[in-house]
Amino acid sequence: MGDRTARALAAVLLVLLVVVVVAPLVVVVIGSVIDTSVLGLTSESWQQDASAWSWFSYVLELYGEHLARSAWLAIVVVAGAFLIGFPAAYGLARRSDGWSAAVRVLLDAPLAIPGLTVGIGLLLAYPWGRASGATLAAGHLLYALPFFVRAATNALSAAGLAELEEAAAAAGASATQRFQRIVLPLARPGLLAGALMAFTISWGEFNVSFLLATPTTQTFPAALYLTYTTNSFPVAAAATTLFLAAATPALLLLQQIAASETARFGEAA
Amino acid sequence: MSRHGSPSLWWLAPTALFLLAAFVVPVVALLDIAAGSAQGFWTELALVWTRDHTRRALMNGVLLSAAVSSAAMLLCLAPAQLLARGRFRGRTLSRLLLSLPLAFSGIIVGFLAIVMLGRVGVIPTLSLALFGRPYGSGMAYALPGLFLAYLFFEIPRAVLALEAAFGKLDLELDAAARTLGARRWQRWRRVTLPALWPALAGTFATTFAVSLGSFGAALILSRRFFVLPVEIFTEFTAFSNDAGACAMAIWLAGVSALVSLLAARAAAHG
Repeated sequence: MGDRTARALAAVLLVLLVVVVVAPLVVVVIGSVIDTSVLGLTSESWQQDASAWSWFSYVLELYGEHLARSAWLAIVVVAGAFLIGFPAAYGLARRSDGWSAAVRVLLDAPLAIPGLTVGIGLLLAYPWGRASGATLAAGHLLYALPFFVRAATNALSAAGLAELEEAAAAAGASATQRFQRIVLPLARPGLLAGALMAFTISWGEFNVSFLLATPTTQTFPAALYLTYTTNSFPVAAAATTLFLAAATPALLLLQQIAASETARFGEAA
Repeated sequence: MSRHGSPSLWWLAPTALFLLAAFVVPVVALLDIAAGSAQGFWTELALVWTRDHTRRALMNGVLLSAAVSSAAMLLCLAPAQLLARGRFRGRTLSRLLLSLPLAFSGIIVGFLAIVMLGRVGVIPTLSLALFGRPYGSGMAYALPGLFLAYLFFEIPRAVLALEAAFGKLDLELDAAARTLGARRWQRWRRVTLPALWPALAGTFATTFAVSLGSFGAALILSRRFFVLPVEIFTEFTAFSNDAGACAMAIWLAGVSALVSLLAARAAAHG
C-alpha cells in the first residue's frame, strides 16, 4: 500500500467521522427552527401560527431557570478550579517528590471512577450538602479539576518560565511582581484553556448531577432529560440547540488556543 | 515560596484537602454503607455477582465498553495521524467538529441516536423514501444503536488522545528506519507501534472507563439491554436499597480502576 493510498484512506475515515458527529447536530439545530414533519420527527401537527422561534421562548420559559443555574454552576466551578487548582499547578510544575506524585494520582483517580459512584458517595457522606447544591458543585469540580490542573501545570512548566522568575527574583522583584509580570502573562493561554475545559465539563455534566440535584437544583442537562422524555421533538431540539449554543463557542476558543500554542511552542503544546 | 529551590508544600494543600473531602471521604462512606448492610459487606458484594440480573448488567457493560473502545481506537487511529501530521485545509475545523461530543452528556447522545435511528428517525425516513424500506428503524433502542451512541461520544476522546500521541512521536526514527530500507509495515510494526503503545493503552483505559460509567445514553435508549449504572440508579432512587446500590457502585468502580491499572502496567511494560 503506497503512501498516497494510505493517506486517502485516512482522509476518507476522517470525513466519515466528521459526518457521523455533525449530521445529528445539524438535524437537531435545523429541527429547532423549521418544520421537521417531513422527516417524520414531529408527531403532532405543527402550529401554523407559531413562528419557529417560539419554541425557544417556550423552552426558556419552562427551563430558563435550569439554564441560568447551569451557567452559574459552571462559573462557580471555573472559579473553584482557579482558586484551588492554580496553586496546585504551580506546586506540581516546580516540585517532583512523593507528595506531588500522590496529588497527581489522587487528581486523576476520579476520572477512572464512574460519576454515579462518586455521586452516591457524596450524597451519603454529606446529606446536608444536597439542598444548597454544595455537593453538586463539589462533584462538578472533582471532574473538572484534573483537566484544569493539567493545562495549568503544562503552562507553568513551559520552558524558561522558572528561569525568568528566578532572574526577576535576583533583580529584586517581589513575589507579587513576579506573579503579575511574569507568571500570569506567560501562563495565560494555558490557564484560559484550563478554564474553558472546566466550563465545558460542568456545562455538560449529567452523571453526578442527576443524582445530587434536588428538584430545585436541577441543572440544564437534567432539563434536557425532561424535554426528551416529556416534550415533543421541536421543544427538545430547541433545548438542545440552546445547550450547543454555549458549548460550541467554548470548544471553538479551546481549539484556537491549542492551535496558536502549537504555533508558538511547536507540537509540545 | 522559598526564594530558591522548590516551592513549599502549601501550594498543594487546597487541592489535596478538596480531593480528600470530595473523593476519599465519599468513597469511604460508600464502603461503610455496604459494610453496614444486614447481610455483611462481602455477602452484599457477592450478591451482585450471584444474582443473574446484576451480573448480566455488569458483564453487558464490560463487553459493550470493550467493544466500543476497541472500535473507537481502530476507527480513529488513521484520522488522528492525519490530524497530527497533515497540513491541509479544514484541519482545525475537522478537529473542532470532532471535539464537539466532548461536551455532551450521554442523554444528549441518546437523543441524537433517537433522532437519527429512532422508529421514525432521519435515516429510516430517508431510507424509506430512497429504497422503499425504513432501514434502521428503531435501531436506537437495540444493541447496535446503543453501540453507535457510545461510539459517538468516544470518538473525540480517542481522536484527541491519539492525535497528541502522534504529535509527540519522533519522526526522525521513522526517517532513519526508512533510510535503512524498512518497509512501510516494518516501520509501523517496529518503530511507530512501540512508541505509540503507552498512548494506545491509556486511550483504551480512558474510553473504557467513560463507557462503563456512562449512564445517560443507556437511560434514554436501553430497553432490554441492562447496564449497571442504570441499575444502580434505580436501586438507589426507586428502591432506596442503599447497601445494594453501594455494592454495585463498588463493583463498577472496581472494574474501572482495575482496567486503568492493567492499562498502566501494559503501557509501562510494552
